[in-house]
Amino acid sequence: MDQPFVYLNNAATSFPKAPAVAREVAAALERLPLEPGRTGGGGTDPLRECRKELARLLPGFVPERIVLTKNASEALNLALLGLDLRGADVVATAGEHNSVLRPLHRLRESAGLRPHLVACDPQGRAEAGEWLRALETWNPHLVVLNHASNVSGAVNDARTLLGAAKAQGALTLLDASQTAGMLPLDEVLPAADLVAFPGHKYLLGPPGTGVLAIREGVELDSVFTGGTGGQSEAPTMPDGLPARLEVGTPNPVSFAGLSASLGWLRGNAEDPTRIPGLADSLTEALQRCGARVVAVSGPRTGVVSFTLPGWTVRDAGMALERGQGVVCRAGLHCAPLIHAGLGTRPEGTVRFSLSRFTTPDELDRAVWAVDRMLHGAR
Amino acid sequence: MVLVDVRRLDDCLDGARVYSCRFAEPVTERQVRELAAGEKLEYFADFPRPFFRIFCAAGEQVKGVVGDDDLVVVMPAGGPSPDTFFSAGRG
Repeated sequence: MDQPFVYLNNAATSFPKAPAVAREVAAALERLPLEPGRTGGGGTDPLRECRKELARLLPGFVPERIVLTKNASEALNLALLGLDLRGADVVATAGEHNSVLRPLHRLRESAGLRPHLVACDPQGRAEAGEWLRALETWNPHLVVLNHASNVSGAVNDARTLLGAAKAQGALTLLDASQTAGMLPLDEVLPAADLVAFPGHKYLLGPPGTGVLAIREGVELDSVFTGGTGGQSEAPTMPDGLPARLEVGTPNPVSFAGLSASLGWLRGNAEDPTRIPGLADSLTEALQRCGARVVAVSGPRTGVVSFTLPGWTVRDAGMALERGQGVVCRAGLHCAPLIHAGLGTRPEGTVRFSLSRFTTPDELDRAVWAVDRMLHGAR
Repeated sequence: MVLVDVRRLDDCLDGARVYSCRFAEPVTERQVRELAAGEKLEYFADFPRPFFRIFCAAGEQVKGVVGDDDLVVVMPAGGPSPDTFFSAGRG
């Protein structure tokens, strides 16, 4: 194909990464792997530096309580499996990702956890009234909320929903996978006891990076046990954080890359309305050419989901990527339950997801590609 | 068209099976049109890489891109395997 690819799968992982990330990862790979605290040497600890960078993004959370994981799924599992949820009532939503739904299902089977999933509206937001009723009915030990849907892009009013849960004593876990780096988190964070997100989506860092931030006073048991580089004579994991939750050989190379992207983001602030504005324009353009778009009003991310009359979702994704070089995703997007509210069962949707590097020309090309699919067969 | 590998991708709710079928050579437009003889063909010639869908009366579907060596094939519930489908003098 002569034309370059248009990459619209940033909700899965972002591309391109922030400038300097690749250079920093390459440099980190070529540095002698001295591990402060493990090999006996000193020097800069990339993991410690990354925690400090992340703490700047997460006011109210201290670096030592920022656990570095390989992705958001691991972070969410550490949270859900590290809490004592035996027999507990947990309120979450039908918009959650499988990285929340599957651990909840497992805990239901193994620990008698009682999950209560609040329905989502046709835009993919949790029904606020139903959420508040669930809090009152179940008085949950924990609530889990997807800050923004990876299917529709709709942003939940996490400040209100988590705030209400906290006010009645529940622990709160915020899945910020689709909002960290996309939207400011400052207003939401005070209501979150635990925050999980990946470094490789809108924070523009390398794959293999994820974060679980834990508020002071919230304690998690270890999920994985093994070597931690210290207290080796003890048969149990260290009590302190982050060692209690970080096992085995760490990944200083990828987290050096994440530090580079965080530094770049700090120096290159983005207007938080720009990408959502592009998503709104993309929605309108797709609707004009005949696509059935999951329309979102109000706060949103750069995700746009749609279906095409006469096309299965699988075929549409294939035609877009392999036939026209528009990289996207098609299917249920690991969020199987939200599609009931969106009206996109059983197949799901085709999803375009923008990043700050997506250009209007690329969106024009994507719309043209869809238009040809609807009107171009011979 | 010489089939060299078949990989099952998915099962549909209606019992249809989805396969990735890889061939010894990249698929040509001529082969696509021969495969589609007597069936319904959608051919998107103006894509940067021509994309096609073939809908067979018996329920099979073949989709792919001209120039690729692998196609996606949907076999209906109770229908033959892709090996049988492509060995029946198709393409």
